[in-house]
Amino acid sequence: MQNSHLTRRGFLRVAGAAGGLAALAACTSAAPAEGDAGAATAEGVTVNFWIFWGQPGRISDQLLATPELAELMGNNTLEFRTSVATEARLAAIAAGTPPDIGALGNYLDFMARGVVVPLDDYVAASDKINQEDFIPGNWEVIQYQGTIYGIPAIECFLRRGLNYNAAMISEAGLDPDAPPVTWAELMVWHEALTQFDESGNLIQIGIDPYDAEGGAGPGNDGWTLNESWGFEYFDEDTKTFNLDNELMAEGMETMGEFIKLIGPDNLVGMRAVEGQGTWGGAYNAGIQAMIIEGYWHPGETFNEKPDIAEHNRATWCPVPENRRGEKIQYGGGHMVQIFKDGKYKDEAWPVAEWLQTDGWCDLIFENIGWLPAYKPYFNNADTDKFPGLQFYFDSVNDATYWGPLIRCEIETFISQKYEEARESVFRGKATGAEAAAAMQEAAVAEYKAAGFA
Amino acid sequence: MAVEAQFRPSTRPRDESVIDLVNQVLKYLILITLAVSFVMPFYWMMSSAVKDDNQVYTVPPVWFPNPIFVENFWNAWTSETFNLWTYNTVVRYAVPVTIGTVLSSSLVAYSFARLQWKGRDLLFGVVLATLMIPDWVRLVPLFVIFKNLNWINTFLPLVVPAFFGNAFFIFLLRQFFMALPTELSDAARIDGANELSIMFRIILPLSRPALAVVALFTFMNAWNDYLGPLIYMNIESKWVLTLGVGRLRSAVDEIGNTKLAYPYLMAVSTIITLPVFLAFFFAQRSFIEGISLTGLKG
Amino acid sequence: MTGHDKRSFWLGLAFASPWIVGFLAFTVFPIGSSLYYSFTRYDLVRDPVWLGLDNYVAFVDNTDFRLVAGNTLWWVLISSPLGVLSAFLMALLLNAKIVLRSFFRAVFFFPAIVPVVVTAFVWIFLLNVQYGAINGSLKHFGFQVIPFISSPRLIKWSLVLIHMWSQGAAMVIFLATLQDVPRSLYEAATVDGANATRRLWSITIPMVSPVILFNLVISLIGGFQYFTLPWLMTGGGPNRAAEFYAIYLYRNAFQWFRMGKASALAWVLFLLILGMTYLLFRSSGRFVYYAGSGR
Repeated sequence: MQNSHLTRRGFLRVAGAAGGLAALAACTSAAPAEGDAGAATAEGVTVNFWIFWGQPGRISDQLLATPELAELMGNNTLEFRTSVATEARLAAIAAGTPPDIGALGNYLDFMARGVVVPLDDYVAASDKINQEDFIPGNWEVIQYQGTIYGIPAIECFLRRGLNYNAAMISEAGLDPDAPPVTWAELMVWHEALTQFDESGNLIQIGIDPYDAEGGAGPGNDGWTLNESWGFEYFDEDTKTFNLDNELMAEGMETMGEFIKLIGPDNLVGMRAVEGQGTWGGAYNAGIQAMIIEGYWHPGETFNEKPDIAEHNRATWCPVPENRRGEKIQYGGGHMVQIFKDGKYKDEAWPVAEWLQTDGWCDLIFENIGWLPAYKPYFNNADTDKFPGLQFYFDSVNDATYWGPLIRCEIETFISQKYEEARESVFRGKATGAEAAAAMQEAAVAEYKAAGFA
Repeated sequence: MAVEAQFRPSTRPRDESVIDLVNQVLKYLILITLAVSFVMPFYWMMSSAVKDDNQVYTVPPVWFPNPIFVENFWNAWTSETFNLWTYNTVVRYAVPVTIGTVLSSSLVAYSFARLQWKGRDLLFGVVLATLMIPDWVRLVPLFVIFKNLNWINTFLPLVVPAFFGNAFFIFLLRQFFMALPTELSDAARIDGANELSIMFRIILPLSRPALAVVALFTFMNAWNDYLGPLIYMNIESKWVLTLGVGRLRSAVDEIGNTKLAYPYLMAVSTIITLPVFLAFFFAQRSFIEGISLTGLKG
Repeated sequence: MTGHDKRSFWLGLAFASPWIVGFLAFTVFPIGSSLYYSFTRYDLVRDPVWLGLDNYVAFVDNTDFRLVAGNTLWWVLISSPLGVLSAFLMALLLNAKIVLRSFFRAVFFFPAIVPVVVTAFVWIFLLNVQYGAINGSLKHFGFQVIPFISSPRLIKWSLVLIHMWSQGAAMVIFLATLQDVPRSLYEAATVDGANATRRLWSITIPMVSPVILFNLVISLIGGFQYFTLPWLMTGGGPNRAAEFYAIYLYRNAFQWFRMGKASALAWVLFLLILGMTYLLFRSSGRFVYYAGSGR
């Protein structure tokens, strides 16, 4: 019933758009709505829009005041929630009280479990959302089994780059113009940059390889370790896992060495567990010299700590010796999805369109540093707006290896197991091989238990 | 030790009184050290609340912030919808739960303490036995039930069960009611009063201290509750204070030591601790007696 | 039953009815459905799938289960006695003849009633390895920092420390009991030449032993369900050293929506608690002294 309703509305939209006048389209799509749900629409409804990030919350008044929003939403109003914590968003979905539309992470989980609705009809009817306007990788990540379940939005574009603080590099007697390209070379920098005081207390670190995108995976941000070592952890066709292999083991051991040098206890203290800020907090605080991060890093740092940002530079993410010269990059990114249990679907759809408009995108790019996957916007974006950003734009053409998009229904689970596995390696509790074998075992069991095998 | 001092024989060799003095000094030294370390976290919280970013992550730590940023309290409070969350916590959660718990628990306790009926003691045994059941066993199915009732994101899952008595407080009130002389109700019964009016006119007025304890504890439990709202409230407009403070904690995770994230977290923590402190300050006896009552007479 | 008996039976039942209805609706029925769910795979979206004993059998050689059960047993066995000890020692101190007793009592008691969120956020800041008040001072004076929170070896001990700090309720119970110990007992013992230590062991401890048992049981039941503080502080880390049973249960239920498995976990927890309490009561005969006729 929901579907037929949707299709009918979709049809009317197409009819409107075919008329060739945006204004007419707006009228036509508003007209049947009145017939549909009489009083509710006359007064307008409140569409709930949630995102898990916090930063846009700081400019939400400005965002909600953009003229494009008023135009797209008509009578309806938007309730915009930011910083939706993991527990809250998952609980909301389990409880059948999700938002109408949202970017809440766990995208594939939601697709595979039927929590979000297919959007193909909306896309077909829309004059604003067209496949050719989006970066191909971002258009791919929104699909599951050939159906579209999301629209790329809010924070998209490229995710791999080694950013470094040139001032700290120079200070340590290293040459910021010759950055490391392999993990071994990165280790040389790391050793030079990691410093302790006389009583053995940590003052400064070179890099935490698992910080930010370095630790990402698996999911819509790819899996940095897999891409750097060049393998795929899951085969979608045969539904088999490839976690228990020597590349996975070597990866965790190699990256773990960096943390052993810092001291795991010191590092955890510097990071999430004790609130030095999760992603990139230590870099922005000027006590971490390097970080593996996406294109947003230059802009975010610029907006959070301009004095650090002015020294920021970006280069390729490190690879093992046998892949020297490989330039890895990954598309991926985020999306908004419309939830099955939400109250308003048609009314929520304009939000997906709004997120591509200049009004939204300008504010987000200026104040936070994020870019959409929407070509009409970012083709005109200032590619050198923040120190280091240019690298990412150039890498679109220069990259030699694009991380594959892998869809595994239990990727969230594996992501958690990966965190546990790598911690047991850098704490010396397990070898890389042991940890990789344990991951494989857990993944196979979970895949079966969750009913996907 | 107190007893020792009181019953000390008056004729004692001199060296014993020296030992006594050393004991006294030692005792106060321990007491004061302990007291300081107990208060220290609160002092750290309050002093961090009035810092700015430059005074937060420092070596050595700043114990006496200078200058002091008192405006942090106001700015932190208004940075999120803490007024709404206070309203939710008090008016929509704590007060109804308190009313429900006091009413229902006294009714049930009255039955167990002051009515004679077959099976009473057996049932009371069951009440006590439920105290052993871990909340976690009920949490999952209750969530499913409340979800099916469409009660998620309402205060019903938190409030409604309170109107069906709380085993712990039934126990507490029963102990108190039992201690009241039976002659009181017997006299009223002879005058033809029914049990409900005996309870409301005679027993409850005499039990004010115990009722105060129940009310105080229930209110405080609601004020401090985190897990219940965490599970049932997933839209901000239904949040309570404990979840709201969590928001400030996520801000610390997200932006680290910038934009006064930490001072704000500490400022709001201070503010929500204040009512607890005041309640304790003015009702210390109720707290202490309530705990002793349940702990002891069992 | 006589007419009068009947009348009082129905009257008693009527007064007790709120609890009876609540017991059926919010305890019996949920527990029953919990038992049913524990034999199924249920993710709230799709219908439950009958698995028989699979959920339970899977615990036997599951590393996650062993890890969280181990952490929780550690927690119960260490934190319960130390918490009770802390409460007892504080009460003993306060029971001595001291000035400002109610002030000290208030100071020792207060942490017990502070919102747990506040306790968690303040302590995590206080114990931060880089900038906490304690480690900041250690650094300043040229000492090596102590990774209270960030070391898997220390995190549980740090939680024990916080646990011992918030034992006000148990302390008050001890204090009330201590004040009830007849003075004549001490008097007689003093006359017989017993010194302070001897009096502590042969009078005070036996006299408060039922309360020790009571506090141990309460603390044990709470310890098995320990959740909010470790959850808020580290979410179970570092290296899962603070991932207690309830955290794992919460994750299964409300993060991964394995309601069936979570229910099975809850039932195992229930049995563990019953078993441990039973053992405690069984062995308590040896050390608990019940004075006179009881009640």
